[in-house]
Amino acid sequence: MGKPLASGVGVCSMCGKPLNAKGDCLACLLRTGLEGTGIETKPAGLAFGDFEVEQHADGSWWELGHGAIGVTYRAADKVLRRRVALKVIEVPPAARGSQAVRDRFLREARAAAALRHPNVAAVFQFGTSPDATHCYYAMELVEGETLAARVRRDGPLNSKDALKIAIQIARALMAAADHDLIHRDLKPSNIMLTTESEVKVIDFGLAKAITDAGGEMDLTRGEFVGTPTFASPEQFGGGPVDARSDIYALGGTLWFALTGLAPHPGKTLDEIRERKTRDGLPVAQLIARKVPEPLVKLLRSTLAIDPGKRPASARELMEAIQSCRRKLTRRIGASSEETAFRSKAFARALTNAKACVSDPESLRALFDSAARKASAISKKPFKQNWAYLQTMLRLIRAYYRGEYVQVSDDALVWIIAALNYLVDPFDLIPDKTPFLGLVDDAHVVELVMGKTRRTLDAFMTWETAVR
Amino acid sequence: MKETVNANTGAGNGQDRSDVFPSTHWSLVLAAGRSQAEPEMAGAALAELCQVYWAPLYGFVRSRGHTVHDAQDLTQSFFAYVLEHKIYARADRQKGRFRSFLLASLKNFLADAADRERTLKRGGAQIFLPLHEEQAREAESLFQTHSGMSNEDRLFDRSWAEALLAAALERLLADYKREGKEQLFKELRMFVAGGADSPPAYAELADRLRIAESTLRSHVTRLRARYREALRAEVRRTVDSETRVDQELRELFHVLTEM
Repeated sequence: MGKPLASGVGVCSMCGKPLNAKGDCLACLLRTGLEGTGIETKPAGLAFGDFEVEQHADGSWWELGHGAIGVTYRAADKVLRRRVALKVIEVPPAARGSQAVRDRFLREARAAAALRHPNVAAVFQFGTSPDATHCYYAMELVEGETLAARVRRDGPLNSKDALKIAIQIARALMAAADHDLIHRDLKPSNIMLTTESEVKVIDFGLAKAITDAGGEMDLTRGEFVGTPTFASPEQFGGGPVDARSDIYALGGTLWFALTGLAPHPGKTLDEIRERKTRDGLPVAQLIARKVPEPLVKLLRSTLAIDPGKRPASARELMEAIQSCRRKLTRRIGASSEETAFRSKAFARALTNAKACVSDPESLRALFDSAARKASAISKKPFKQNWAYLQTMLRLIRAYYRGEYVQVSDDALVWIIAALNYLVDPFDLIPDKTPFLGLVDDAHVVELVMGKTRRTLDAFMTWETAVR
Repeated sequence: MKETVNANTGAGNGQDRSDVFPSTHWSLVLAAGRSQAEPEMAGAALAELCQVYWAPLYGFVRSRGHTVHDAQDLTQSFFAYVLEHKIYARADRQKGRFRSFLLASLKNFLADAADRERTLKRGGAQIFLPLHEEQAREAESLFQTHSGMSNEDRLFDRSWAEALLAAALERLLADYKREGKEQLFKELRMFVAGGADSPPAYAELADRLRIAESTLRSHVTRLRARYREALRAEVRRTVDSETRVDQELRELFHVLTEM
């Protein structure tokens, strides 16, 4: 029922605490049960080295993600006073006293910290807890969502967008190769897509360095740590793992982006291993999604069972991807120009929003004006967006009253821009194009909908808790 | 609000005993113990409480090194002993908590376990609480989860707190079932009890349930409020006065968060 940790215990998606046998989270039950009782439910601080894990308004830890081997929190660097993503990993009991494991983690961590590239989430600092039960490392905090979440929410990507992502991952792998670093756990949930549609690869090398516990014993014990679905066949066999394993994983990730499916899914380690080494690629999935032939060929080569038949290096992989893209561009005559911001009206709304956020008076004026206009305009053109509009207004009201501050400046800009675009309170948008679903620019709609929806959902959750 | 409290209190862990034991089970047991009046009611009230909190007692016995089967037998024997010998009649009114009473009694019982065993073998205990296989399995699972704790009293308190939270949730589920809203409860359970899967967006869930988003929000708010009442009602069953409810909740909170 729950997602298994290394210890086999499920964790709560809301607060990251272990679930009981029935799949319930006692921490959540307790917090809910004590709401309004006056009993202080905010737990004592959770800190690792210089980093203090942040909490939501209800006292729960601010979790950014969790997986089989650890939890990533939003945390504050108390020394440098900046926000970071802090990955905390429980060291397997068998590895806690091992000097070899500690050395390996330090070696990988140093290499990862030295890796600086626009497509890699930078590692700032790393360390172990005093009792050696946990390792942690602080990474650059990336605003956005994982590729896995994007595909789950919006469905498979088109070939062009998927290739754009693959190119950026390949750039990250090339930079890693310069530092003799391989990722070893590349997968859609380790690919962050920023709000500006950039790719940032997270967790380079480090997570596996800890959980592999000094060798391939995880495999021999039948406890593959992490997600085997995207791992290369040689990672199952305990054989040497090099950059070609990451190339295989990139192929699987690209496959997932295009189809929403893993090429070789399975419920057990043995089943996945069997399929990877025995079954051919389910190319019918690609055909069903109308994936062009050059891209199918690229996937076949990256997902070859024999590492010798894959591109030999990240650089060779990049050449293969670029070649594929050129063929596709010729075929469909597509322009590679960025179109997300081609709507001048929305660009103007965004500029206004940026100005408003830093100026309380402008924000207040925007709100008052938007509220007036919203109450005056006919609801009909905004039928689909009416609930969004009302929530935006409530969010901004709560924000400038200082009641709701758990929204990043960046997210607030998008909310205000969307509001601005929706009701145009200052009559600055000349074409008066209606909003979501009606605007003639799919990219703008996608960007605005994704960002505003997530921000408004978080706000509504807060509202419910407060109420 | 008061009506809600009473309705929840009456759910009785899924069993419809609310008309018999309308308020504080433990106070009823204590009162019966003092006056020797209505012993059947007191015994039945105690038996019901013992069913709910079987797991923490079992875990404590296991932490003393007994095997699964021995621990099951000893726990069952303990409850039979308490009921048969009306140990609750000696409960210290000042302590006022069922939890404290049970733990102290269990320690005494175990200290004399060898004699007790001999008595049982001679057919001394005639009162048995039914033990269900699932109940035993869950109790063992709970014990295994906390078996690393070195302090047996803390293990007991923590298991007790977990049983309490779970009992409150079961009580609420029983209420929703009675109202024909079991499906709604299942859909919204995560807003009270968390879970492995991320909660869906309100708009998405409202769409799936074919209700307005505002209605969904009201349902969630109501569910959370009802859980709070169910939890208080559950605690109320194990203490002798209303004033102890907050005190007990506070203590259980510390037990669960000091890990």
